[in-house]
Amino acid sequence: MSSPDLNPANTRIPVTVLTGFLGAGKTTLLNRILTEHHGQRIAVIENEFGEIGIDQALVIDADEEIFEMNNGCICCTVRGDLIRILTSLMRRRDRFDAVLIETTGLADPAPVAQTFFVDEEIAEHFRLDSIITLVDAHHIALHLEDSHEAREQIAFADVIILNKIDRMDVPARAALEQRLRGMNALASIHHAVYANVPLETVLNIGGFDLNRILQQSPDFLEPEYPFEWAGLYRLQAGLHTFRVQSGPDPSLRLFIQECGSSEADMATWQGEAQACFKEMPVQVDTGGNPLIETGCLYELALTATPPMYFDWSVTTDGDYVLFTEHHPAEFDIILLYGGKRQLPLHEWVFKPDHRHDDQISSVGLTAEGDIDHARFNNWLGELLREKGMDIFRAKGILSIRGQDKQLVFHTVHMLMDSQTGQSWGKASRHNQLIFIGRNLDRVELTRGFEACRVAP
Amino acid sequence: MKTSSKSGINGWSPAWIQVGTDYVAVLAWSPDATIVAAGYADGSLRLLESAAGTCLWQCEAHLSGIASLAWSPDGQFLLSGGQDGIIRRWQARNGQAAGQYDGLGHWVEHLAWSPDGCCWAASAGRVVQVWRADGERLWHGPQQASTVTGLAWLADSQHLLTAAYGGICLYRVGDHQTTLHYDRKGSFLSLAVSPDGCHVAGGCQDASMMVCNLETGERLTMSGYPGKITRLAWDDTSRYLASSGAHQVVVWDFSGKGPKDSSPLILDRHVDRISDLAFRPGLPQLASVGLDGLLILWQLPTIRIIRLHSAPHSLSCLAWHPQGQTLAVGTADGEVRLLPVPISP
Repeated sequence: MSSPDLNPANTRIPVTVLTGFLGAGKTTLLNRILTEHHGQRIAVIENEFGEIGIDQALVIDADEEIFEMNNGCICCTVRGDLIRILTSLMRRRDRFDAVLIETTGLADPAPVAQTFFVDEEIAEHFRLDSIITLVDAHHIALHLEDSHEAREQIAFADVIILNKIDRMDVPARAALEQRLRGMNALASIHHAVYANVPLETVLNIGGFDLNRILQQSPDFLEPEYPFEWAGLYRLQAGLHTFRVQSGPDPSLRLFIQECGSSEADMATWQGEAQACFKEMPVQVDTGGNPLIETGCLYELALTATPPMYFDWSVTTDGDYVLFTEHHPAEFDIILLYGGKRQLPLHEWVFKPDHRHDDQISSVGLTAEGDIDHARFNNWLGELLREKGMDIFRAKGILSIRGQDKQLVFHTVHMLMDSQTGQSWGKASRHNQLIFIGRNLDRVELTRGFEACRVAP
Repeated sequence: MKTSSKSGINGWSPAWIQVGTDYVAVLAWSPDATIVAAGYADGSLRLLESAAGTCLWQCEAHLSGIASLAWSPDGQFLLSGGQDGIIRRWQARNGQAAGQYDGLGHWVEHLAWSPDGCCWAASAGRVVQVWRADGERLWHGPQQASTVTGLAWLADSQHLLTAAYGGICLYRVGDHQTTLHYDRKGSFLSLAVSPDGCHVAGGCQDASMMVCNLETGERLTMSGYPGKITRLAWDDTSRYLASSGAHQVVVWDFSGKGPKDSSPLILDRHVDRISDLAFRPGLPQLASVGLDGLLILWQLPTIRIIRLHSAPHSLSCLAWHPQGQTLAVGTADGEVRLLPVPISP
């Protein structure tokens, strides 16, 4: 159901969608937009007022009407009230510079966003500029636990505003931000007190600026690993023992590899470990048989009273590399030999994959050079047809073979909108893509995207 | 037979053009055909004398756009429904306010007099209300599944049909229950009852149309339209049903065995979305207007173009003279254009 719309002169009216739970501060932000002098004429569609004209804005009451289609396709579900209101707005002689739509606290952002793709007449005249999600910094963690809508609102956002941040200490802010980033690496995150963000971060932000996002969060293009830590040990043959305290999980996965030849390096071991972490682990209980095999994934059961001891029988003197699912510090893991603590010669830390919050995560891909447009459309079209329900948003800037200008696109579930962007000029041509969704497979996405590249 | 020069189908020019203030949202002829009422998107209302286009009176009728107009059958009063949620009644002669009715805060999108002229119905938001001609409210209908997008009386002046999300409903005025519900998942955007009262048609957001036989309950679904179906019109004889999807008009023929398993006539000349269509009273001729600025008069069933008028702006609405002698069209730029059509072209 993708409908690429290559409208070169982008004269469509930008639309901002404001989501967020009750009490997050949407009304405060709206009131600021309605009263501040920003020189733009804005139509605000929301749920509380009747229609009233205020100096530079028009406020229209919307009665949320969710329209599913006869074909049963959830991706075609739209907001009928918005279609009627926007159709009427585009007729008025006093045109608007921007439209702002406030949704109710529990609204699913998808039907609102899909309205701008599914209804042709609306898509011709309006452009979904951004989805802004306002969150009450204190309560969002709780909402994320028990509300599907809160998770979707975070996943769909282009901009997340952490409101009432003044009442939160710095480590808590950092932890919250990290959690939101884990779900949606695409959104820019702003801090606010009384929703006091600069309006240019909210209105007509011009779609999206991937470079800015990458500057803010450069590490999200890095692959994520099923392990957080690795250490290289030089060990003697004999019985070693792990002493483990209890930690955040009731089990811990562990991969042990013998380093063998001196040519092998971290890249090799890491590849082996990644492959092995996909296998079924060997279950190990405290007081069970010692670990012997190398090149094998173990899962230590951490349910006994701490400290727990696991033996490892090292068969030959040599170098060994150890990968742990979590950082050893989280479980206070110590490797003992003859009563003495063994320290690694070298250690590495890896960015873990985020496997919580309904498995909502982000995957970013980059590639130098050009993309074949037809191959890309086929790949993305098929990907969205098959996995569109799980891919909430995708955005990208592409360097298309034979085109002087960037191709900029974004998607909402199965629906796609694209337009030509700036000229590449002297800038080095490259491609950037970001996916936000459930159960994203980075390896598969990378493989599919790589196949769209044109050989240099 | 070759005489098509400048005065061919393209030589159709207006008798007069009246320039108003904003997008013409709706036009309505008085029953005696002496006046064309025009409602604009800025809420202003003008009564234009049909012979020369002179403005009889005008006023700022509503705080925001006018969405509907309806003349009383005796031509004494005009009702206007606004996006301000108000219905106003005007003395047609002089523009004096003669009543105000509450649309309960929602856009008053449809107004319709009962065929016997005793009462009128208005839809605003999810509710239909009925008032007696003297202004007393008779009925407040039940909440519907969504905003009502179509409203029509049956010939008995006792029943109303409405279109909304989830289907077409039949109500008996005064009842608090639906008499009949022709349910179909999807959003209905338009409604039209055949003049003989046999069929009701509803056009949908998902580019399909449902037609129900009001006597047998049999239903047909027509799909494959190029866009959502926003306008429907029946001809006087109830033979033709015209429907617009995007830039095409699709006409179904209900004569003989009816449209089932038959192909419709496709009127494909507009190059942009169609904004309105209506059959000429007394003749199998259809007028369509579009955002491309074209007004086209089609002959059925040959689908020959009889007349074509090209305006410099998008056309927004049209209304036929009650006897079909002329046609008024509104533009997105605020013009009302009156186009005469001799009976035998």
